[in-house]
Amino acid sequence: MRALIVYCHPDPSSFTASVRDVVLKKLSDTEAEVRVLDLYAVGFDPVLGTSELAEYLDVSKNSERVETHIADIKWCNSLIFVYPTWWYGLPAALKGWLDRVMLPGFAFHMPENGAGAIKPGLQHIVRLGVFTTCGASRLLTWYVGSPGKRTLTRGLRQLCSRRVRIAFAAHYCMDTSTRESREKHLTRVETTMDRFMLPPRLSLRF
Amino acid sequence: MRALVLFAHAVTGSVSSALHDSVFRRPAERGWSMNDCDLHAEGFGAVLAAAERGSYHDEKLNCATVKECVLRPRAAEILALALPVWIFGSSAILKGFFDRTCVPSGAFKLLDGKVKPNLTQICKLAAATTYGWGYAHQSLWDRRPAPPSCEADRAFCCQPEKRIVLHS
Repeated sequence: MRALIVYCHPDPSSFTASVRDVVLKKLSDTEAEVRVLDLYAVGFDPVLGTSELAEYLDVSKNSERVETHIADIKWCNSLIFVYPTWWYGLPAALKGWLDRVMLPGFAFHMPENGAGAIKPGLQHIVRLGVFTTCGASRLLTWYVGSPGKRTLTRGLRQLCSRRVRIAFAAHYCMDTSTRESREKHLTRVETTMDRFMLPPRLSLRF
Repeated sequence: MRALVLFAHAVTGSVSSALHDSVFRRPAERGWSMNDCDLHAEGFGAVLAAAERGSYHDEKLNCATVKECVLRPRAAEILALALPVWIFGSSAILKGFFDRTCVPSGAFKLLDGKVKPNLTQICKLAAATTYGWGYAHQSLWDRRPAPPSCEADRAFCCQPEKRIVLHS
């Protein structure tokens, strides 16, 4: 198992950092190889600007500015996201990472001659983990549509292997969390990771 | 009527840019007072910094770095968005606008730990967008997460009788 953890929180002492540490500990208990990408620590610029947009569809050039990120994704077979949910969605730094790194010619393939379907390009990814915290309640997050969670577990999932194993764990109502609720959540992260590290699902589709 | 238009695409001449022109022009022709916010042209910083996160709940400090952008939705009666949907969501610069400017005492108030809307003067909400993947694909698999992200977020802070329009 080769895992890339994409971590996104500005505060090193946050609860999200504790979640990341639990994920790291569970991975270290196995023989997994791990790389951590801390988007705030590397100062990742999330804005897809004019020059990148101009080269977006040119597969020979579009990946030049984010080569190291693409190399990390090509290296791993398990992608794990650890981030806070802000305004029901992904933090801008993480959303921008998807915007700039999930490029045509790599993460997906545009249809030739403009006809047909977009084809997935991350079929080597067999595990997709999502660990987050939400200020809102579970009910309100559901009502709004859970756009952050769904971007990853429904949107990004379509680019991955058909056998991809999905894991998701969220602590809701963070603003009113207690020590007990946070400890309980860290235990939930541990058990979620145990299931996550099982072999990929068997595919019923051929 | 006072309208705020949020635009989030870097390229002049793009379809999103044309949407922005349309969204801006029609209300302007009716004589509405227009506040145009082109996030790329204004060089808006998308990333919520550690210091901003640290002062998020401090109502005296939480909008110190983006005070003007916090006040713009407060002054508007209409909010219109022109945005591309990238990777099933709004672009990072627009998401960053919400992350950084929708703070306690700005878009909402925290009273006894409960969230109360604070953009109740906004009575109309509109979004014009483009999708890379087909409508059926988005709606079947993704239930179109981007519009809820923009609209329901804002709707939560706006007037109950708000009018929401989406063109994609």
